[in-house]
Amino acid sequence: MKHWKIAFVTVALGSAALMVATAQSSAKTLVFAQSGDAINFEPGDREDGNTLQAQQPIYERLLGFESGTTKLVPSLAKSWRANKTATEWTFSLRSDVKFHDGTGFDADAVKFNVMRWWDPKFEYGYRDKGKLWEPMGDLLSGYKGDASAVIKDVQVVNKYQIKFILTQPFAAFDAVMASIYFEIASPTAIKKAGADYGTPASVGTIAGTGPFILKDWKPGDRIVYSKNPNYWGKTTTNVDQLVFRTIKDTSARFAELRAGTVDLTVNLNPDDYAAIKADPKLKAILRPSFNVGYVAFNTQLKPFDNVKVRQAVAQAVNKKEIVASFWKGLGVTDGSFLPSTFSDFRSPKVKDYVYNPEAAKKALADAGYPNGFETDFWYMPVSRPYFPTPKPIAEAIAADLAQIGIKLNLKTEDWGTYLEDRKKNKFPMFLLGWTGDYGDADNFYTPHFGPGAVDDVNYRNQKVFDLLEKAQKLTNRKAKVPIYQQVEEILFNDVVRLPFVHSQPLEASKATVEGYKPSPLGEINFADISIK
Amino acid sequence: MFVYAMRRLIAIVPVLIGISILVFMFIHLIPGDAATILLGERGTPQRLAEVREQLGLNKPWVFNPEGFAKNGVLGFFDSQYFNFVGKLLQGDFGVSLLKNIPVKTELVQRWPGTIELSIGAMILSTFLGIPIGILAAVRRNSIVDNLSMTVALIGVSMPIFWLGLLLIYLFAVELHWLPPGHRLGTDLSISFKPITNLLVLDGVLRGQLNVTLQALQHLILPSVALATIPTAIIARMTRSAMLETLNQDYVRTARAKGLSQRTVVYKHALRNALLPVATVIGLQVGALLGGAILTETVFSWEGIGLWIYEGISTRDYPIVQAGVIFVAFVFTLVNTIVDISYALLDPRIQYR
Repeated sequence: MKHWKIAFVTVALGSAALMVATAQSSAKTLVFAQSGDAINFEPGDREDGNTLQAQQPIYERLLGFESGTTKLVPSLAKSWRANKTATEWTFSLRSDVKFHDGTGFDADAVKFNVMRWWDPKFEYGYRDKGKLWEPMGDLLSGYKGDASAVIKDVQVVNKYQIKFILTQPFAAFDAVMASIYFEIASPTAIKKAGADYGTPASVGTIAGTGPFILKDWKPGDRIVYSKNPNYWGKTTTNVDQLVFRTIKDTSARFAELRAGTVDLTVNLNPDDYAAIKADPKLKAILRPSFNVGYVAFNTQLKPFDNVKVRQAVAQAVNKKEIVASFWKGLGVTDGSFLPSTFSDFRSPKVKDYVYNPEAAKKALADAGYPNGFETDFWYMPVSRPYFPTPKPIAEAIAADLAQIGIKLNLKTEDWGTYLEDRKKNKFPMFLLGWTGDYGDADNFYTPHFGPGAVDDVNYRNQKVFDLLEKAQKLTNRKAKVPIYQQVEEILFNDVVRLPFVHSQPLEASKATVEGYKPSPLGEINFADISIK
Repeated sequence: MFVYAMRRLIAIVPVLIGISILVFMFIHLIPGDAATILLGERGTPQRLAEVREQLGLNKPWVFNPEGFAKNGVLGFFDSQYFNFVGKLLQGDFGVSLLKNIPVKTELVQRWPGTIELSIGAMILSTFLGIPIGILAAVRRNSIVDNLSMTVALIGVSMPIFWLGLLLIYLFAVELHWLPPGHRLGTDLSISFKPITNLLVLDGVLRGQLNVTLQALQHLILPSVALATIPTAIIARMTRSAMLETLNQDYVRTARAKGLSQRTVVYKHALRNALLPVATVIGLQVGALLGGAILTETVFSWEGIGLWIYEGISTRDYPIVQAGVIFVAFVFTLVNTIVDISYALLDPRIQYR
């Protein structure tokens, strides 16, 4: 028995000594936790949020956003201009920028990166080795050779000037190039690592131009960055070492923040907002909303083929009440599909449907359903920023609609299946949403109401198609205002995707973390952040 | 004995073939594939088709009649299943669809994490479960018995997920006694270079005892969470096996001879009662590997469970296939060893 006691005391003393040792270690390390690991460090390849955030500290784009806003500012490009028809875009590049591997940044480097994303035949694109180059397909409608592709050609004008020629007028091209997807990596590093570039095997080679350098990456566990001592720009950070840790579970992520093992974390549950505000050691961070959560109606399935039924539903759901109780002050509801960042594109004529069960019941009777009806209502099985807890929200909606005689059968299925099935006319009514990629309203409207939109509601309105196409060609923001206002009026009246919420994702840090300006676009700029 | 052992080991092969078919079938039968998940809200039909082609998901599942017309018999078997099995036979687990890195690399790196966690939980549950079971059996119907069996019942019914979070809140957030997750703290995890990835062992091998100690600290909470169900099951099994043995004639004889209670229980009864308990412990390995999925998620434990879970939710077929087959292999292997070990526990058993 004695040995046991000695062993126990040794372990206890050892643990105590270790705790002291850990507490005294260097202070300028910032530990950031997100819900998933990076898939790779190949800029322009993936659209996964965790991957993009992990790439962000080491890479930069031609243009950036002013911290905390969607306003475009110069980054690797000093200035940029478009021709009158918005079909030719010229970017003048900085000449004082070096990649982390010491090679210089210039127009050839930009072209090299664009060719990887855009040209399926480019030898360094490694499509046969599993590179997907998703953003080029999704945001710029395709690759070299595709009829739909936005980019027609990319030309090096001189060492520090690059020109994009487009197949069609596209006014948001600069905003797209500023989005987090199109980051520039060192061509020398890519050629050196080949198809392995961006995988864990290539960690020593990975090189961008950003304020941090990738030091180490152990998939599933951690990513380590160090401050770039030769960074060309100005930063305010005092962080020497940045560490990303993967904590999949939301509650566990919050627990680690409270336990002190994490300095900053994202995508927390709105329920924890009150606890964060009450804790003097923590700081709640509210990101401006840049998303929309909506209730969709399939216009091909009865009874939602009747616009009057859809309007009745819009009046029968107490959106204000539901949003207040489930988002705990972290969300607003209104009649617009666009978040308030685009307030100038919102129509003054659109006032949200007022909750009025009596009027709704009457409207339903007028539409030919005096006794209501029964249908399936699908809710997402996963938590997204726009619907953090889909199931209870769906239940609340169903309870409201029961008041006017509509009986909803709540249904859900696995997320992958859900995304697939919504396109098969299986969902008469369902929950879904969208988070914007770049600061242009087109990015909200066209994927949902444009000619190439996903056929999950079967809404094809030629008038809307024409208006959206017209707006795409205008570089002047003011000129787009009347067009988008008109779009909003039509959509408000037709109620195919009833805007339910614009939510603010909840993030939190230790009180010692300073300087962080949360961006509506979701990316975290670590070059702003310091530790007290 | 040797022949028997070999025969049992060879019998694992058909089991694995069966598993490979089942896991392939099940993961492919779930609607939605890696392309659907990748594109998420953006999956237009055109983009889906493009991405499917890039990922090789446009090939038929089992047989490829079109390929037969083009390339004969070989083309006929140019399908997702046979490509997977063909590679597997060469020891190649394939490449992750989403991450584009060899599945083997991650398997080798993550497997030790799960082993360490399972061993921790197994030690806890065996060394707690058996004594509790013995105590309950010896003092049958006493308060000790009722209390421990009630606790065991709660243990069996407690969701690991919930218990894990509870443990984190109590011991990491409120009391600050133990770390909330991961296998090592941030500082050490950056500086330490593992050898086998069994961190407790690696700390000793590298002569860095602080690593071993910290790895053990990190191991405590997840092991406790994972061990609850097996502990409860082992305790209940030990109790009933002991009760049965204690009622047998030879035990009464032993008592009549005037042997002490201690000798009767531990020398005479326990050894016989352990036989069914050993089987249960073997079967619990399966439960541990299953429970590891939940435990690893709550404690951000870098192991195979979390990896398979992510593989399933992103439809990364190669990861799921390789992971499940590997887990099945370990499970059958452990149970085969348990079967063989009967001979050691009970000299009357002879194998032919």
